[in-house]
Amino acid sequence: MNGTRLIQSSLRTLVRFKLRSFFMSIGVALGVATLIAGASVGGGAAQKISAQIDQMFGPGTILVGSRELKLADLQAIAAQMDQIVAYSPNLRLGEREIQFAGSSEQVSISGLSANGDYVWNRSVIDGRFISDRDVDRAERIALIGTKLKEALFGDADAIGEEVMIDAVPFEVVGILAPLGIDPHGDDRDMDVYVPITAAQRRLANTDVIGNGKLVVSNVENVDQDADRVAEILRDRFAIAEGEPETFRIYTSKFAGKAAIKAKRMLGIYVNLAAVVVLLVAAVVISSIMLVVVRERIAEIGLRKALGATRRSIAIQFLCESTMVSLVAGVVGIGLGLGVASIVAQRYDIPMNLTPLAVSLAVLASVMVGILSGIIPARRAASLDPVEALR
Amino acid sequence: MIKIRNLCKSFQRPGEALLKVLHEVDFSVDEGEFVAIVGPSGSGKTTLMNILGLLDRPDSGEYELHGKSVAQLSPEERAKVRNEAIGFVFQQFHLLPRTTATENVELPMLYSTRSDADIRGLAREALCRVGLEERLSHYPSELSGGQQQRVAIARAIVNDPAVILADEPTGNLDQKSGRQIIDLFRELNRNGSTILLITHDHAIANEASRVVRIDDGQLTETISRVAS
Repeated sequence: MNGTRLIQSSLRTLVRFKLRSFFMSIGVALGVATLIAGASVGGGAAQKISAQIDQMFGPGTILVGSRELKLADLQAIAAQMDQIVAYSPNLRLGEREIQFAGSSEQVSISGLSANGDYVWNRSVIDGRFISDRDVDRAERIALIGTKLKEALFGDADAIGEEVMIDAVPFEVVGILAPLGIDPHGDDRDMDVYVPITAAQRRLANTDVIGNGKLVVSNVENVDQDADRVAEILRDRFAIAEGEPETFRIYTSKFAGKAAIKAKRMLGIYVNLAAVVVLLVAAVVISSIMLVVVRERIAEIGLRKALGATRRSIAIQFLCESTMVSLVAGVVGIGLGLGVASIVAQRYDIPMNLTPLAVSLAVLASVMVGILSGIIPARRAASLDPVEALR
Repeated sequence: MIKIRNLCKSFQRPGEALLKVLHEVDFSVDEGEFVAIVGPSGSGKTTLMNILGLLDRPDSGEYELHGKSVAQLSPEERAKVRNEAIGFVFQQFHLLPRTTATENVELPMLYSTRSDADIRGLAREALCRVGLEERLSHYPSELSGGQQQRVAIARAIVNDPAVILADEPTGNLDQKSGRQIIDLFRELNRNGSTILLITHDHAIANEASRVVRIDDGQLTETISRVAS
């Protein structure tokens, strides 16, 4: 039988027995939908995470964190290492209450230096950033995120208004550019930044900075540079040889690797689930096809009497199972894209479906169809026409 | 056309004695003949037909079709012979349900190398020959028994076979429809088709140009008459 006729008659059988076709295709459709949804949102999520890592870390940066860390430590490191081109503290005060005209919000407040816009990659879309003068004089000024601005001020102008942070008055001087939700699930558009000195003296009563970020000149050497930073800090904190470090150091490279690893693990689990579903689907198709073969014994006998070879009978049934699976696969691709676009919209993740993923999904459904058709096709082909026609 | 010699076939069912269905059968059919094989049920006529139709193999004996021995053919070659040289007509019609008359008649040609256009044209032509030019797109369920059997006959003749093997073709039909089917066979025979008809109905057998009697696996009697 020629190919077009085979495909036509297979598709017709599919349409003729709608309920049976539905049961045969549901597994493949779900498996392929899982593959496609995983591929399109997974890829998008990875893109988003690495974009956020770039945003948070910048390409060549070292993060230092310690309860003892002071500004002098960062200064000392910069003095000893030429490859440090910039540094900035970030004192995280955690959740504090911010109030304006009766409305209040719990937000995370951080103290930054004047170059925090460059080092921490946070710019203002309205007003101005923290200046050196603000830092020198521990000015009570604040930068607020766009969502917080909306929560406190609505559509009204916030610049120049006075807000209360832990009952200390601060003047809003700038609105931060929106960043969205970070990988920890924190809404960065609810952030509040104040001058580091104001955070230390007026809100926390401390002289430590807690966290600092160092920008290195050469991205490639960031790991070696981090080792050198660790050495200097061990020295300054007087940590003896063999004693555990009382500080943490992360590099942008490390964070990127961790994110990629997490994404890869998630991808493996999603794909594994899809493969299991597809295997179950193959078993379902196979067993239904076996029933179909039994049901159509007379037809098989007739076809053999009319000149069908074992091969053409086998091909016919293989073609039927493959077409069911293929059609189910195409439905599954649509289904997967639907789910992916809902997830993408809900979590603001870019969709990223490659032609490779689509071809793999199609290939997977064809494979399932062929695999599940083998046993029924063999059984059909080996039927004795005399028995079958009785 | 068909020549068999010393043909034996027996079945062994577990726990039962060996059943000799065909025993040293000699038989031949010439081109253009209309032969009826009569015998009671269980006499081995269907087994003979299955062997003649290359659906079954004899235990021993010779079978020549068109002057060529078919004993040594591979399954693929046997399928090809069935496709090209033999037209089957069954008691239960064996039409594919939910498939139009034309598509049913096209079925044997799907296993040949004919072009799509040929297939359509020949199927239509065969249906015209059996008088169903008005029923080309009807489904079997929309046709009477006699009409269904005529579709099956159209399917049997569409590949222009050397011989038509009909196993109780009127067995499922009322008398009038059966009569029409036999008339159709006679007409096909007049136009040159070789026909081998199996029946247990002597009235029908008597329409053939030659009647062969089969009993207990042996051909016992041959009545020849001049074709009318």
